[in-house]
Amino acid sequence: MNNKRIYQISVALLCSYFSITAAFAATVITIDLRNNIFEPSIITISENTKIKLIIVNHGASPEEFDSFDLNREKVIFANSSAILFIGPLPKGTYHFFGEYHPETAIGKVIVTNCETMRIESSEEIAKC
Amino acid sequence: MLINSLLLFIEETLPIFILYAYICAWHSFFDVNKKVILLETRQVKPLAIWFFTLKQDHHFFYFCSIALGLLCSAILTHFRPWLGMTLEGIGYEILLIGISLSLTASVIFGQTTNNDFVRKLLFSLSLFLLVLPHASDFIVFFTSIGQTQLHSSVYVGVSVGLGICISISYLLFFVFVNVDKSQPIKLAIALFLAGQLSNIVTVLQQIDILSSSLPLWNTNNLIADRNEYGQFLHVLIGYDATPTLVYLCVFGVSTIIIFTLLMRTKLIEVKSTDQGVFQ
Repeated sequence: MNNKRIYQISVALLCSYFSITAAFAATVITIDLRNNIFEPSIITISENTKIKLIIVNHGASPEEFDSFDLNREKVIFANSSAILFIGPLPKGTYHFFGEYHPETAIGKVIVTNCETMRIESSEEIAKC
Repeated sequence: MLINSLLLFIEETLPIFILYAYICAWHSFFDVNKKVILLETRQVKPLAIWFFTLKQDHHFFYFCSIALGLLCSAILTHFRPWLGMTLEGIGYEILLIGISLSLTASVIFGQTTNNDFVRKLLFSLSLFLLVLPHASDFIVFFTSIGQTQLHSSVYVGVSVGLGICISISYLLFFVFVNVDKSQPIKLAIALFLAGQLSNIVTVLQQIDILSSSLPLWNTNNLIADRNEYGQFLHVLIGYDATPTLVYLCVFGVSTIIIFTLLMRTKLIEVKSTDQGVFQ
């Protein structure tokens, strides 16, 4: 295989990768952090959806949004917001927490087969 | 809070301790300013003597760079809220990517030079760059905890974490300094740097410059990312329980390139010669 062919294949693979990437448009979800508690603490999204997560910290101290399941971490300073993207994800439950207040600041992202997305504080799967 | 503080401390400081161990071990192979001891006088030293052989001049450079890093991280922490809002909220991530690339470049150039002074400067720069974001994260943690109350479990977690980091660091230094060949340390450094570089992939996915993809496998049942072993392996060999294809590609290619670069560079290896052993 000559260099030209390798170059052509590389370009084709790169183009297809970015085409697939562009196909996933992000849905915006806002989480409020008050008194070291995420509101809503449970987010239900549909499978293979990209989410733009806006976390607004209304507290007086910084907090770090952390999730080993989602492989994300981001510090949100007092009275400010932070943006991060998650997904597309396969079906399952993904836990997240506030690293500085792990006892209270906890939540999870539930990825289901539902076609419609719901954000509730309970019984998300049943409603789907 | 104890486990959380412990994990946070390990996550933030273990890379610094491991890099310190690696660059000290590197000096034992390639520091041309050492004196020669005849082979027949070479003997196995007790652990206490190994500790005192740490009293070499490059430690002065490194301690100064770490101290400077701590100072600058305090300044960085002050400006982080502003930095986090710039460039549509990705300012700090862009800085992190720049730091990771500069860190890798400074370690590689430090290893491929035969000039001792330049090597010390570059290694000092790499430590400074590694301390900067990690210490800043830790300062933010203490600021946040301090505004409510500082639990005794936080101090215990930090103390235990410090003990673990020092033990791992010294153990790695001790292992590599007692290996006659330089290939293992080169491979270890290549894996460490590739792991640091691969973290860029996660940052890019987080800010949507690089799209997230589904993980190739999930080994959280075996070694979870969240536990101490997962953290340790992540720093040491770039372990990820749920790696994506992009992550694996970046990690694999970085490891091969860095290791090849270190193997092909002609360095004056002074650890063992026909005439004697340098110490």
